[in-house]
This record gives sequence, C-alpha cells and structure tokens, in this order.
Amino acid sequence: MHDVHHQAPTLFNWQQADDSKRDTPAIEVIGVPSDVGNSVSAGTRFGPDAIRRASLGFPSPLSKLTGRDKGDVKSVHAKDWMHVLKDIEQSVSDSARRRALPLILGGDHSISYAGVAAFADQGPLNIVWIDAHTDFCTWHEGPYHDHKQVLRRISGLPHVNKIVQIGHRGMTYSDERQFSDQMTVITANKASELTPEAILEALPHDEPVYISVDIDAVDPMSAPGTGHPVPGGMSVKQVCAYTRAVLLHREAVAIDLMEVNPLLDHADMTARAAATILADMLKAYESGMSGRLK
Amino acid sequence: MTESSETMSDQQRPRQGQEAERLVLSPSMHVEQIEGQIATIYLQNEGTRIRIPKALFNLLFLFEEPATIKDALGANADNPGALKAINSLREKKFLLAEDDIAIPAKRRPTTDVPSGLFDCPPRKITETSDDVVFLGVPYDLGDMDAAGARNGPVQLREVSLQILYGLERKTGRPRGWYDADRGRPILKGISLGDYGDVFIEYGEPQHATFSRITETLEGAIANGALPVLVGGDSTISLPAIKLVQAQEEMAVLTIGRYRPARAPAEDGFITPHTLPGQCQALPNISHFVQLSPFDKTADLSPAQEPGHSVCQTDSLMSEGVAFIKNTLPGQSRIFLCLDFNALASPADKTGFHYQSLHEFIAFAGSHYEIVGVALTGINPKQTQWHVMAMIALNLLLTAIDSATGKEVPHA
Repeated sequence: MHDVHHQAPTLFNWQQADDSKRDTPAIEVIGVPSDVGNSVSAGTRFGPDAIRRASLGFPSPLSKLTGRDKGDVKSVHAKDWMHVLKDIEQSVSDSARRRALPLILGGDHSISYAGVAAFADQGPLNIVWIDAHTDFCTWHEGPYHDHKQVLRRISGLPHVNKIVQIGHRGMTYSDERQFSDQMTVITANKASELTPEAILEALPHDEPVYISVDIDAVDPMSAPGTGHPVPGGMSVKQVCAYTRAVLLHREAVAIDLMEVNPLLDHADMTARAAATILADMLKAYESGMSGRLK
Repeated sequence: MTESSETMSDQQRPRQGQEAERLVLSPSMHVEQIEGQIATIYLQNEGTRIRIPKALFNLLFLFEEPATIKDALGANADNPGALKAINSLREKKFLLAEDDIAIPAKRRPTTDVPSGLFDCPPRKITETSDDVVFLGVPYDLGDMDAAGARNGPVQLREVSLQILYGLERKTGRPRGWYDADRGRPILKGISLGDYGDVFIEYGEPQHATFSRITETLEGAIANGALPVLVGGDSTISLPAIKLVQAQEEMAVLTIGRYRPARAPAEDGFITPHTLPGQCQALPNISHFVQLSPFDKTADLSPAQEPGHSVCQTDSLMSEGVAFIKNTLPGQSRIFLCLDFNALASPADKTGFHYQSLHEFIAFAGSHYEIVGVALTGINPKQTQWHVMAMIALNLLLTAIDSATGKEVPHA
C-alpha cells in the first residue's frame, strides 16, 4: 500500500487490506481523517477512528462477502487539499478497479467529491446524498471547495447524472429545492411521509449510484457530534430505510459516511449512529448483490 | 504668555470660579492607542472616543490628582490655547470637577458586542427604526439553576453567524430566510437590530440591572419594534413584560419547566419561582400561562391561583394547544417566554423536542399577537451547546416570524 497507512482498530474488526494477497475483498474501507473542508469546527479528522471504534460493538454485517480496511489516507493534514483529494481519488479508483466497493469514512463532506470523481469513466452515475444541507452553496469554480459547496461541484462533473438529496431542513437563505434541475430534494419532513422506495423513481434503473451519508442528516438528539447540527432531523432508522431501498434496487459503486466529529459528540452516540447506519447499509448491499446475481 | 485675558474668546476664557475649581481626570478614561504623536482615548461610561495630540494627552495627566488650572499649568495658566483645550476636555467629560467624582458616573446601559445576532447591524440606543430589536441580558443571578447562562447572549451571537442576516443587493430590503421545514420564506423585509448587551454590574441590586433593561428597551421599541430579549436566566423577562404590558392588556405565555413558588424572596427579589406572581401583580397582565414538560413529581397546587395556569404535558401540539385555547379565550396579545430548561437535549431526552416547539410557536403566532419574546436559559456551559444553540436560533427565528409575519386573527 503506498497511499494509505493502517491504524487500529479496523472497521467491524475486519482484517487490514493486504496488497500482497491476491483475493480481492468485496468491500474496502478508506479512512480520510480530514476537516480541511469544514468551515466551522475541527474534529472530523478523528471521525474515521471514532467510527471504527464504535463498529467494534457490532458483529460484522457481512455473512458472505468479505471486507478489508485499507486504513487512512496518508498525510492528509500535511499537504494542500487539492493534492489530498487526488490521493483519495486514486485510492477509491484502485479499489473500484479491483471490483471492490470503496467505503469511505470521513472526514468532512468535501471529501466526497474525490469519491465521485474516481468514477469518471463509469458514467452516467447518480448520486444519493443524505444530508441536512444541500451542500449547494456558490462555488468559485477553482481547484478546491468546502463541504458547503461540494455537491454543487459534484453536479458539474460530466459523468454525474441525477442527484437525490434526502434530509434537507432548517433555516436557509432560499428555497434550495430549486437549485438544480439535476437534483430532487426530499426534505426531512417529506422523507417521513414517503415510502423509501419512492425515491427510486428519480434513479434510473440501469445506472449505478454513489451513496453519501452526512451524519447530520440524523437528528442531533441522536447524533449531536457533528459541526453543523440542524434540529428536526431524520432518525437513524429512517436513514437506514432510505439507503436500504437504494442498495436493494440499484447498483452501488461506492458508499461514504461523513462529518462524524467525536470532539462534539456525547457518549459516542454519533459514532454509534454512524456504525449502525454502515452496518445496515452493508447488509443491504450484500442482499442487493445476491439479488442481482441470481 | 503673549495674549492678555481681555482679548480671549469665551471658550478660551476660564469659566466663572474655574480659577479656584479643582479638576480631575475622569476615572472612566481609557487609552485605546498611542501611535506617534496621536493618542486615541475613550470614556467607558459615555462611549465617547476622541483622537488628540500627544501633548494634550500628556496635559490630561496634570490632573491625575485634583488640581486647579493654575496649579496644574503654572506659568501657562493664562495660555489661551491651553485653556481652550482644557475646556474642550471638560465638555467631553474627560476632565471633571473634583466634586463630580464623588457622584458615580452614569454608565451606558449597554455594552457593545463583537457582532450582532445573525450578524444584523449593532445599534446604539437612540436608533429605533428596526422592526425587531435584540437585547442581550448576560444575567444569571436570579436563578440558582442557571449558572453560566450569562454567557448565552455572546455565545449565541457567535453561533448565529452560521445563519446570516442580510439585505437584498438591489433593494436594500432584508432578504429574510427560508424555512425549509415549513417550505416558505420568513422575515422577508423585516429589519433586525442588535442593541448589544445590558451592562451588568455584578453585585449591584437586581432592580438596578432590571432598570437598565427597561431604560434600553424603552428607547429601542418606541417606534413599535418587537422586543426580543436573549438571556440570561428567565427572570430577565420581567422588565420587558412590565414595559410592554403598560401599553395594553396582554398575557404571558411561558414554555419552561414548572417551579412552584417557594417562600417569597427578600425585598422583591425576582426568581423563577416568584416570576409568575410578579407578572400577575402588573395591572395589564390578564393571564400567566405556563406549558411545562410532564413531571409527575411536580406539585401544581401552588399554581392554582387565578390567572396562573400550568399545563404539564408531553404533547404540545394536542394538549398544549387545547390548553391555551381554553385558557386564553379572546386574547390577542401575548409575551412569549421560552426557557431552554424545557427542552430535550442529546444528553437528557426529557422535555420538549424541537419539532413540536417549532410547530407550537407557529401555531401561537397564527392565533395570537406576539408582542415580545424572551429566550432564556440558553447556557453555553451545558453539554452539547453547539446543538442547543442551533435549536435556539431556529426557534428564535420561528418566534420572530410568528410575531411579525401575518395578520392576527383573534383566538
């Protein structure tokens, strides 16, 4: 491994990834301990470690597939952000090329850009973005961005087709549902009224999806350890229901979970919420894979 | 001396009796900057800031101890330029008559803050054109359980910089916000101003602090602005309630944990326990209605006084709404007090949750005329402050929108 380094523990106590072995795991974990893109608070750099530790309280969610942990991307806070993004993109791309599902642990949400960018040759790609915010703030169109602009930048990538944003809420400056024709926004209130399968209408059946979960989609009463909490959020159960619907019915090319900040957490509840969501997503991914292979 | 006293102008001439009068440098004078030959000094009590030549700055210190002009200036006592400068410094109150020092200088009632709430413009107390005026009250001495709430106003302002107030570029009208939960714009065209924090002299009598709240608000809401107090503990709402009820009959609607009255506090000292009684004693308060999270241990019997109604409920939108509809028939004016001790937090799930409060406040605004808002009990010392602060700001915007946003039908 040239681009990542290991640090204990691993997600769900999986084995560390080992390039010398020929077998390719179905899922590869990539930690990105960075909060470069968070404009308000530092601390998501400790997110990957917190999620991994919380996951040790869970049995591995996989029964047939295998998962490996590649560790964290190196030198995240020791070089400029655009170079770190390239490193992440490379690591994600390497995993995808080996036909493993990259599972990225943030870190702040700006990281997801690199995850999506890694699939430039696999378009059209659809995005499921579960988040309290649309992350569609004005972007200056330079070589970097922050976590409030990341989805706007992603939407401009040529291979990105549809975007489904779930969990938006709170006080904003305008009606963010109108930001982009590419994007369907399902507010947190609306999400509680819909059946999760309803979002599949916005995701073409034969096109893959990238699923990104910002932990701030979850109500801060259950997941307070995040930099931009917005009251009135989704439950962990609701988030799982939506991701499950996608994973059972669409082909996922990558998953990420972002914005866990243990410095702002209370009794590890946010890290546990993240681990719960990941466990559920991985079970659904495995089930979805089995279903599609039959 | 080249100029005789006969040729001096009025300003240059010593005032009558000034020759014998002893002057002294104001104890409220502070130095802000000394750079080159210019000194910037200000009076903390008046808020006056001036830039003066270093020579004049040095002259001030001739009066560090009380002295007559003649004693201080010696041979230059008749210098018209020096006398003019001294009179100017006297008029600006940097120099005081010795006798005036014995009288405590009148303080400004408020202190400036680093930024306005939501980054709205900071205001001086004479400006009253805003639709909504914020006033911070960093006071937590009236409630044993509120230690740390004094830091609420300044800390809440900092968090509020994530939800900025702003004006439309072309029109200069306040752009407001968009409430994504209700799917509609709010506070469009409503101007906000932040009057800073009420100055608190810790140790002074409570009534002195409360008088300063009244004094500040009187000017700030003279043109009909909505007063919004940010505490501080819940007692800080009383001076605002007093002021607003003087205009017309109204009720007080409090959302906060019920705390039964204990033995009367001494000398009319206000506590959360005596607040309901103090409000009800005001001539234009018709009801004091309290919605409190359910607590099976709370004894409501002391609250069964006429006009003081308490509803303990876990369901604001069913029982709470029914209760205030029954309790406040025909009332159109309410002062809304929201004490954060009633809210659930990540660490303690008992209490009201954001969604129900958000909905309830919107309901209250659609059925009553909200004439004042007090947000109290917000406490940066509380665990998960960053979450609670964001809840507070969302509810505050909802309350202000409910107060300013529509025609009010009678309940």
